[in-house]
Amino acid sequence: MHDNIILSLKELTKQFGGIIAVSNINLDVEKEDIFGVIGPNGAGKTTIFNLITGIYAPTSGKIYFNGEDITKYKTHIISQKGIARTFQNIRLFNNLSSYDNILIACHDSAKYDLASGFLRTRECKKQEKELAIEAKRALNSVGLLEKENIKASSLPYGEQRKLELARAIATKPNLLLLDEPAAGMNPNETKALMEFIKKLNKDGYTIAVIEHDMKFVMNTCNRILVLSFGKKICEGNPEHVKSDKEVNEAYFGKGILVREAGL
Amino acid sequence: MNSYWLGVSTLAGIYLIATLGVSILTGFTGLFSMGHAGFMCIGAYVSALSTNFFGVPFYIGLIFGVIAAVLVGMLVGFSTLKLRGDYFVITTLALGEIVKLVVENFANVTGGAKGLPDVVAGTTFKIVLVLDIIIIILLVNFLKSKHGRNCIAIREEELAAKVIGIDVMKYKMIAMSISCALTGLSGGLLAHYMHYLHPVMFNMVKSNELIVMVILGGQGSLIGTVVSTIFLVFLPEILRVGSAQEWRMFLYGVLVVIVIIARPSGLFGNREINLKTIKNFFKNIRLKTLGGN
Amino acid sequence: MLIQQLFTGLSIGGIYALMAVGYSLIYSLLNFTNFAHSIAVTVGAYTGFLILSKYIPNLYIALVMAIIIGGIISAFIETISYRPLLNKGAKRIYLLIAGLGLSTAGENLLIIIFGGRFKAYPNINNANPINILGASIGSVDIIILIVSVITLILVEILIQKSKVGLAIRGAAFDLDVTSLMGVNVNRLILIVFIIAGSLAGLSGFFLGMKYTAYPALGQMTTKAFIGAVLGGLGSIQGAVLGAIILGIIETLISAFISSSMRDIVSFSILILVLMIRPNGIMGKITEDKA
Repeated sequence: MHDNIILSLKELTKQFGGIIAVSNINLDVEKEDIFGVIGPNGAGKTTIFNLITGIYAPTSGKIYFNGEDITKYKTHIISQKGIARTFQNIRLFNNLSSYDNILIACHDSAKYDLASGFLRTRECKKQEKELAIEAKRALNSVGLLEKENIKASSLPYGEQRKLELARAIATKPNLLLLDEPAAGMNPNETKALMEFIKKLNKDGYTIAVIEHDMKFVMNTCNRILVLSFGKKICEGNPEHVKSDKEVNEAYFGKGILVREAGL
Repeated sequence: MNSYWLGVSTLAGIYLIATLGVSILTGFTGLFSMGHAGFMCIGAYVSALSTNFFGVPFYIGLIFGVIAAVLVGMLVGFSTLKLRGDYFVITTLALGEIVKLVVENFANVTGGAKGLPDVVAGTTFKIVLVLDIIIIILLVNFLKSKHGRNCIAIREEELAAKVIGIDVMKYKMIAMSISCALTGLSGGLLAHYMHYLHPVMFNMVKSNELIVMVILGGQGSLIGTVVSTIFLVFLPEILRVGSAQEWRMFLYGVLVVIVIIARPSGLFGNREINLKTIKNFFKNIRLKTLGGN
Repeated sequence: MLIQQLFTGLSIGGIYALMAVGYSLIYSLLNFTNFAHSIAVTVGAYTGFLILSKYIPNLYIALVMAIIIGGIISAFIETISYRPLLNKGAKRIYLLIAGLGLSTAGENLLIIIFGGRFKAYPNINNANPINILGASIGSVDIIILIVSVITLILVEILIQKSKVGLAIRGAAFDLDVTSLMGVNVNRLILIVFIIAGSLAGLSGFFLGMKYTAYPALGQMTTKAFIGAVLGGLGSIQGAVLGAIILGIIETLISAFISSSMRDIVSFSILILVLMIRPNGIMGKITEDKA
């Protein structure tokens, strides 16, 4: 296997009862790609993310991360291996403050055990202080530091998305899976998000993003996977995908992708 | 303090340990157990039998009671917490009943439905008070630590907790063990306080009362649990006249429904009283009176 | 003797099955255990007692009244407590807690109204025991058996063949999609609660008839829950199957070993199921959507 491939899906299939959600997906994501996953609703995009993160068990097929077979791993182990994700319908810790949302995500940086926690030993206090610094830094990087004490559910929608993104980054991943991060955002917010993702990518993160906003996808991603009814119908760089006949037909009719991408 | 009120206070302090246990499980980790009085029962009978038949000192009996409760709790937890669905709830409901049945059916050992008399004494108000204080400090530390926060994350949004690397099963088991240990300890203390045990002390009503106290005080608030437990233990003593248990329990049931619909976080909901919140409270008052906004 | 016990077991199993079906319908739809189910059962028992002893000493009228009142109580509970929670998108644990509050309030209200003593149904049915296959089966058990079987068959037909049943099956699979397809989900939920409550009321009537009416009668729903787990949580046919099997095993244990072991065995069955095959006999595995 190439050293450069961070994520590899081999013949990945998921069936729910009689419904085949994804079928024989083969995919290689290279390090520092910004990889787009697009397709009509119900195409299986989120299912693939759920399979990668161990939320669903595949019916057949394999998933490799940095060369390691993670197909049967539990979700929290996969997270510890270096894959983080955000959700289509935002899953924050709603009753907790922004700060707490991030602080909890930093948990793996502190290694003190349960007993030390109960007794609040010196080591525990020291590691907690370091966690606090880490959490504040993470909040600051998305510009939410002044809102640290605000309940997550009280934040405006765009900031909730930012918070969820910051929480994912706080787990120190190598691969970020973002599920419709621009959903519900206005054009300015979307542009800022695009810049933020490009910056993350420059900092070394590999990013896979599910999105419906074609402008976003075509201008941010260097490679794109197109799904329809659970099957891969196209894969390649934006140029290649934009002009693919089958892709254009799968959406709403010919030429729509070119229009949507703002050309 | 006159000895009657001392008695009530001791009882409140004993039940507080149990409700703190249920608070960690339900209020902070979001797991719902319908039969936690069963663990009180285990702690009580194991402790009483150890001291009465094996002659161990009272605090060793308490430790045995705790260990027994934790072991059973871990068994229940291990079999059901990994399953999706209401298995944990139904099993804890059944457990509350099974424990009582076991006590009633092995009457030659436990005294059965007639009760177990002459349990060794040992629980005093001072001991209970000291234990309460120690336990509260330990729990406050726990909740301030990453381990406590991980439990809270599970309550808030279990899937997200998994996805940020929290071993949800491990922490659910931790919460279950802590709650069974505390409830078992409470049962043991009760046994050596009442000098007498009867299975009806640990029936469905008692399990329900534990949950009621936690919910009304507020999920996610230790101080809420403390206040509501003390209040709800003292209340029937204060309202001596016409305070049949049925009216009380009817009212609690209605209150729980109202609280869970209108203000799920209860009296203190998700807030604790500590130095920071007290300072903020006064700061807000000052701002308001000085015409700040 | 064995035949007799089998019939008794089937009769108990039938009662458990009536409770379990209602519980399972709600569970399939809304994915939570309705602890307030016990109220409809107990109310059914008291309704039967009241009607028979104070108003109309006719068994079938009392039975129908128990069904109706059970349904009404269940609808009332859904409307005042579960509906507001569901509309708020409340977490499942809030629904469980509400159910607990309701069952506590309900049980104690019944103690306040009727007192805690056992109320026996007046003996208005003077039919002689019938002789089947050499065993003498009491008329009470015969009635319970026949009515339970008919009712369960009716419920099955309703679910498999009617429009309402189709909506229920669709919603059990996916509540959101069903609502998108134009089904009024709130009304569907209410209908399901009415059906569950009616079945519970009927089972309560039978329990009252067979034993007595008393405030804690509803706690028998725990057996229904165990039956549903045995048969497979989420499967309505499984609930019926598990409940009947549980009833038969209980009766056999009670007759041939001892009645005090009866409940211990029932709860042990639960533990066994959890350890060996948590999905039960007919259970389905579901996975959350993310």
